[in-house]
Amino acid sequence: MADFNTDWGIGNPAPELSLPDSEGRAFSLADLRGKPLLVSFLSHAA
Amino acid sequence: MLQRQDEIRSIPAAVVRVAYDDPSLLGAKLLRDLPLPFPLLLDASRQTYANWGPGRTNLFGAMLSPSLNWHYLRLLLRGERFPGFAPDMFQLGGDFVIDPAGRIAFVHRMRNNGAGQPWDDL
Repeated sequence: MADFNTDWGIGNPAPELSLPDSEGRAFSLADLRGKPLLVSFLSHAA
Repeated sequence: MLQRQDEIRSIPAAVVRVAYDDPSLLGAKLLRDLPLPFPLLLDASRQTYANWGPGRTNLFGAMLSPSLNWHYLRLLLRGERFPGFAPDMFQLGGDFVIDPAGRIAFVHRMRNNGAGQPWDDL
């Protein structure tokens, strides 16, 4: 079982996320509102 | 990660991944000629990392942990090149599930840079 921290920010609004993608196109979290979303932050070892 | 593209595609949610590497290094590490099954976003300033809070580790977690060195050994045994040093070796990763209303539903924060990401649990 993975180490989930289930008391950290659960139920709170997600912070804003507005970044360019790897081809330079703008991406915003609002673009995907209405769908479940997985946001995965890479470490250097990914 | 690239070896698990089918599992990533099977997740019943949209998936975006965020990286902080220099784009040229990231290209060497990830893009190659492979199609990615998700948007790959670049946070060169790491401001978004700071806002979302996946956290940072110490010297042990960044470079000396057994799981991290096992990760690199497996890469080398598969014939892959060392991916190079990141701009910030102490930056950890993490995973956040956001519900359709935009609220955080699930959080996983890495303990060290060798910790795997929990695709099975997600």
